[in-house]
Amino acid sequence: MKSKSVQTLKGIILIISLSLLILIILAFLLSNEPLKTLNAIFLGPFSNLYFFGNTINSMIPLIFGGLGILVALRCGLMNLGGEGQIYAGGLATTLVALKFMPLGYISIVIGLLVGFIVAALISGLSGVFKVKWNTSELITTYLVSAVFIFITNYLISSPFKDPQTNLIATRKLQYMLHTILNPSLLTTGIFYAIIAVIIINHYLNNSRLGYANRLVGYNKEFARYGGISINKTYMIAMLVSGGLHGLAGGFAIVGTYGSAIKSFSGGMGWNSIAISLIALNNPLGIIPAAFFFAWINQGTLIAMQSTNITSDITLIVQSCILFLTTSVVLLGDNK
Amino acid sequence: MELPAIEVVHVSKFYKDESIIANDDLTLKFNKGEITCIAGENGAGKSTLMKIIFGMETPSKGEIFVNGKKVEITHPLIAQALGIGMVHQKFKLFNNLSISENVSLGVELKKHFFFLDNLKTLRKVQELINSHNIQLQADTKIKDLSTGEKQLVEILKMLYRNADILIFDEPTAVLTEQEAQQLFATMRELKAQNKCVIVITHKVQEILDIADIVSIMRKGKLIGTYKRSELNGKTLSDLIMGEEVKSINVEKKHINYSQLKPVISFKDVCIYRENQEKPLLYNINFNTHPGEIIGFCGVSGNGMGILEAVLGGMMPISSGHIYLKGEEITNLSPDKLRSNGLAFVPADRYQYGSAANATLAENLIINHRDRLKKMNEFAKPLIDKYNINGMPSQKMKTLSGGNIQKAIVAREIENMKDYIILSNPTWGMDLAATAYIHSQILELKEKGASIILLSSNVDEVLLLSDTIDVVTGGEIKKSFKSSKKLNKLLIGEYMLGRKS
Repeated sequence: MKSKSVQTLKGIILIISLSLLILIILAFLLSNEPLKTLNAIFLGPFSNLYFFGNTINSMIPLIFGGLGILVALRCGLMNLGGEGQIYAGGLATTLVALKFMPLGYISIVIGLLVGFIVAALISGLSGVFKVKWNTSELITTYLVSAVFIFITNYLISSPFKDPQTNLIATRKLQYMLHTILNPSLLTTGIFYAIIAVIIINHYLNNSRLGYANRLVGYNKEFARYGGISINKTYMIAMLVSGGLHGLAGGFAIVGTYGSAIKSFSGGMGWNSIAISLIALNNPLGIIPAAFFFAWINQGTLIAMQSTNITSDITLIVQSCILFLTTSVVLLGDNK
Repeated sequence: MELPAIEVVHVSKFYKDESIIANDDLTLKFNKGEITCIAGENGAGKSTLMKIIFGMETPSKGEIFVNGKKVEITHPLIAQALGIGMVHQKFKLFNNLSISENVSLGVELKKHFFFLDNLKTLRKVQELINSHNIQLQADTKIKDLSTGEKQLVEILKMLYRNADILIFDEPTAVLTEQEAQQLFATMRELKAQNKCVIVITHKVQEILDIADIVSIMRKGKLIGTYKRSELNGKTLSDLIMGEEVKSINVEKKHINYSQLKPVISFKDVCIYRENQEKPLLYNINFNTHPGEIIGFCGVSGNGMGILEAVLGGMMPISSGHIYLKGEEITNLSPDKLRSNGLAFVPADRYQYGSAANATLAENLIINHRDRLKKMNEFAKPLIDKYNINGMPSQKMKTLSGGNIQKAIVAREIENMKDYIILSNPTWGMDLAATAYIHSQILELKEKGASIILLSSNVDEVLLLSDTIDVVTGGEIKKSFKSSKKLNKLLIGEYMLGRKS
């Protein structure tokens, strides 16, 4: 019903206001110059093209990750393995792009494709468990992802570590996405992210697979009765969800980092969940939701440079939003 | 004279702004030292009344008195505090705990104010068991008990909490004949101890065996309260079923359908349960033919729902074969059955028949997903043709129950090939909508469709069917050819297990 989504929207606005209130209180508690800090956090990202470009740039992986969560949620599934899928997908993209470096920019495309596949398979594993033994994907995505975080850590810090850098990271890519708002980090990746939103929106609303995806999410007994294969739909949703996470990691590398750095994905997976929930299950809502997260994140970074606060303040605000949205959105679902 | 243990006065229960009346102005007394049976068909409102007494539902109107005191029972815990206990159809027991642990759960004896005193509890439960002449050991695990013994544990649970008013909801539905006899003995024992025993049932023989007082309900109303001595089997089943037989004219051509090629055939279909309990379905055999309506009727819990699930491919069978026009379709998944031409109106229109949060148009194309691109163009004529009061882009949950059912029927009829399964197709619908759906069914029959009608509404089955099969205890107990001699009361006697 309309009134319900309006109510949920009100809830989301309330959550965001509450989180911002917490941010303000923290600024007053922790900073010597609270007003300067707040000014930096809220207005810093808009103060010049460099900061603005960086803000938009940090939206890119969040959009892909948010879409990944959204596809699973719309099928009634929860993918808690975003962290590991983004991380492993990012590494796979890097290694393959390095391997195909002689092909020039094509190497990026092949790298992203393989990143998509690797993350899709990791998430698909949980799909297989669910279909075969009816295990909860909520648990298995998290556990499988935890394993892949360790594996990826090992691969980055030992066999594929670049000896020429002090970072724990792989070799640098020669070919990366073009920057579009120099001197900021923003790349053409933002266009691909927006295209991904349009494709996923079209996929969910106008394709038969997307219809199955949604109907299983609405009422899986009804979907089964109507002749939709639940297992197949679950598998596809898990594969697409993981694949989009892989792209989140891949675009972070080919756009921003240039090499797989240890723990580069830190927090992206969890933020994706909050973004997807704030977007109210609507792919188009992912863009403003990701912007909100990028804004606060970038704002705190700017505030850190000019005042004495630390980045922990962002983490606190982000966790508040995650906890609050999960409770409100999930509670609203049960009603 | 002693006060009644519990008394309900002018109790009514409405759902959805008075449009559904589950209980209509009921006034009843239940006395100590008596077994009162509440008898009635499905949907008569028996269970709703008991839920009100047990605090699982609150009445829309009316008052309840326990031992002469007016009470507000808003929660089962309040009911328990007032000495009311209920044995549900589905047992609420922990299989890995002992009888003693299950019985004392939540009211365990403590020592030093904190620790559980398991030994003392065990002894107390064993004393309780012995005092009621029950043959059980308090330390046995629930998983090692038979169904009948589990039910005894449920009774012990109530007694341990000093319940004086004991409600049994269809207690023999899951029991074998012997277990039922043992249960009756326990009930008589409880009666001798001056407890107030209330039994919800529709089984005539059972009522005759144990009741002192019988209250009969039909369509939410109390028809009357009788002493056991005033009744015999015939009068009792007449009272339960009611005598109104609707006279909508359906002409039945007496065709010998068995000469035609069968459409759906069941051969020795069985579904067994674990622990060698009574099978859910046992040796089901039938053939359906083009232009024939085959009607199944039975009381809920007797296998009608299972049969429906098997027909719709929602539940696998343990043994036997199912054929569609001679080709084996045993245990095919719903999507395979759909591509073989399955059309199916399920009884549960909310859980299986529709998705509340999807739009009407999305609901109408579930079995024809290639129409997705043009779903609104597809939905509009269907909405007009079947008089569905709704827009294609409207969420399903904003439609009324009757309109949801019309949408489901429309969807399934539009996609029918050779056969259609209709389970309680007119449940909860008003007369006009019912007549409309009946006319649609007869039209399908004219066109040569093979129709399988499952219904707990005997009038409907009698009105439409060419062959009538009565399902009791998971078996087809009796099969009738439609004839003038056949009437509701006769079928009712088989349905209620009075005749077999």
